[in-house]
Amino acid sequence: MGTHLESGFRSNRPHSWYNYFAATAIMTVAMLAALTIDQLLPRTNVLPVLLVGVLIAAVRTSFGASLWSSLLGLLIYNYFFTEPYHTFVIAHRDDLVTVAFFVLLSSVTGNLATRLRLQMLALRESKARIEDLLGLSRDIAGAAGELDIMQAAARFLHPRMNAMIYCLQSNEAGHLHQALTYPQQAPPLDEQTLRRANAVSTASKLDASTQQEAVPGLQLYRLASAEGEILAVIVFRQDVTSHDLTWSEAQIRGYCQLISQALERARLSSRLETARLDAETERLRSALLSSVSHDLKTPLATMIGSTSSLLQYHDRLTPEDRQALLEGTLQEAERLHRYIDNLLDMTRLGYGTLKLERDWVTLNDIVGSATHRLQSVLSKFELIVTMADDIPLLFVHAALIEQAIVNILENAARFAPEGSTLTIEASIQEQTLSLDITDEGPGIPEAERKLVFNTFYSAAKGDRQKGTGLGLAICHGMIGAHGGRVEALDGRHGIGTTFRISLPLHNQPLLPDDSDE
Amino acid sequence: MNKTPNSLQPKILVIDDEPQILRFLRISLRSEGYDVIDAMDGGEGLRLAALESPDVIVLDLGLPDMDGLCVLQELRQWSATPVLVLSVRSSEQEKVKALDLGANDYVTKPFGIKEFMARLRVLIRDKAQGQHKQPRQLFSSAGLIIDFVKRIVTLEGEPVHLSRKEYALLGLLAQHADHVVTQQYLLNEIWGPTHSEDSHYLRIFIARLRQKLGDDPTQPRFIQTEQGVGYRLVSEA
Repeated sequence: MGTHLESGFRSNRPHSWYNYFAATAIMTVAMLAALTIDQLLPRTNVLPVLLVGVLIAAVRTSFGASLWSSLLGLLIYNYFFTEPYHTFVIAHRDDLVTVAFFVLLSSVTGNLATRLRLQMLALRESKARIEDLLGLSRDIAGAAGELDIMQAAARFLHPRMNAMIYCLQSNEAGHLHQALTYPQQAPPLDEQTLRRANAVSTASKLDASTQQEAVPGLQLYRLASAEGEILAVIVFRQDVTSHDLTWSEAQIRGYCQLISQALERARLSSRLETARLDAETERLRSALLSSVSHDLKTPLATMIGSTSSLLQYHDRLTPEDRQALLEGTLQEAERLHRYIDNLLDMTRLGYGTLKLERDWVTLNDIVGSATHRLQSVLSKFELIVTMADDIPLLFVHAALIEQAIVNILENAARFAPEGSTLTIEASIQEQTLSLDITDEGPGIPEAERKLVFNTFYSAAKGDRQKGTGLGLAICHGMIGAHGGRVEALDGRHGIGTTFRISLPLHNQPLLPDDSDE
Repeated sequence: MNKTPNSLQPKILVIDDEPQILRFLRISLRSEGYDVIDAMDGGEGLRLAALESPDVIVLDLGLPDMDGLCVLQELRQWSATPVLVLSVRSSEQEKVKALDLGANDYVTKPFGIKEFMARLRVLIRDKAQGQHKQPRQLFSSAGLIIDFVKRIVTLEGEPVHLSRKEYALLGLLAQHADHVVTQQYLLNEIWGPTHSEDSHYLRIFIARLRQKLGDDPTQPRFIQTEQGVGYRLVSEA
């Protein structure tokens, strides 16, 4: 490959014969001009006219062509303007000096002009290249993942290079797989090219990161991180019949370097995210373990204690005491049941295996089912349910929303004094359902209101608290899975707490015709 | 229900592999005056169902030797004995499948004995009426009367005006009073097979019915929702 100055963006190297033609044409015009001037104003020195011709040719064409034009100028002057006329013989000595100066001057200026032109071309080209790189970097800056980056890069490069672009991504194990084809309808890569791509990706680092073309129009580039990790291999397949095949390798390498950097950044950030998730999983696991030991063992302690007391002292107990022990056992068993449901949901929710099975349901059914499940707990409170008339159908996974409501109600019942009022109120604001569950308990300090939905917060308090309240974190997760949110607010008149569940509403489905009243 | 033991006491077959559950069911069922036989696996259960001709079969879906649903399928090939299925939570599809395969009702584990006995009583009552099984002509429950002959619905003596579909829906539920009716069945029967997935039709119509019957939608007296499964019209309010 030649110097970068000459190659590049649609270089005119293949057209160098054209330069000589152009130089000849320019000199012909100069000759005609000189002859005309000589006719009109005899005895004028026409040498500057030819010199101008040489200069123009030098600016317009290449160095060789400028020399050619100065040779032509010399011959023209000699033939037409030195005695004896119409021969290539020079009779006078001063003409000889003039011709010698012409040759010197024209070759120096020609050289200068050519160099100037080349510099200008190079400047223009490098400006275009920088603008192009900027354009590419702007395009891929907006892309999030590795695939998005490659997509953006391919979209950018495709029209510029007039090539089909294939991105082969390498996974953690270093195997390549075809991640992207641009445009999508491009024919798939053949076996041989894939083998070559693999060879390129595994070639030692000292090898140039490119593979010279063995097949015309096919170019493979390796994208590696700064540490030498192979990120991807890009294959450009250009249309062989196209004339714009010449692309400077430097240009393509510039692109490839930009893409490599973007890919490396993306891979790094995804690794960081994985590491963060792993740490979170670990913390969640330990929180769950502590929750299991507390939440599951407390009801069990009551159940084992009560039933063993019954067995041991059956005859000595009053019927009321027996009844109390049995009722306690039943209630604790129901509590245990709810905890286990929660734990099951939690594990499914946290690890992506939970699929929302959405269906159209009425809020009434969900609230009714939740309060029904908590019958024995709620019997100690005055429960007031107020539903606005215009509540539309919800498109949700009913069991999960029900569990979220059960958890909030249970939490409220745990902290509010017996005999106090619990209210459930539903209303519609714009496209959102608000479900407020208000208790008359001690309330939650402002600073802790966000923290109560955090798994680790409540679990960290451990045994000092009545139950771990893992339920609120689960509630948060379940509502979140539906695109809604839960928040803790001041209760009514500053007493207690209001938990507000906000759920986005969906466009209501079409209803059957029922006009036959 | 007649609690005095006699030779005609209903016979209940319990098929469950969990000895503790078998034990408490046996104790409770006997104290309600039922005759109890039990089986620890599906094969034994089917054998006893054939030999002992029980009045009602209580079937756990999780059995060691074969899937409870398979037991049900096999049983239904030669027996119409009412089956009460014991199922676990978070498997609405399993419940619906069991109902589709011919189970008459289900109870979700863990369950209270009160709920279990209520379901069982309905099945025994049905079985007793089964000999002369005809479409119901009259349904009445806590002030609600549906007269299928005159096609009139009254609540506390006052007529309730229902649209044709509303009446069809209420009527269908009343024909299966105290049984859960799956939503697919209801949609199929009332709106046709092309609408068997349009659960929102049911939600709206049930809400309208509850309103017209003066029901508290969160604690309905008449039409109860079985989340994800279907609806149940209660006669013993």
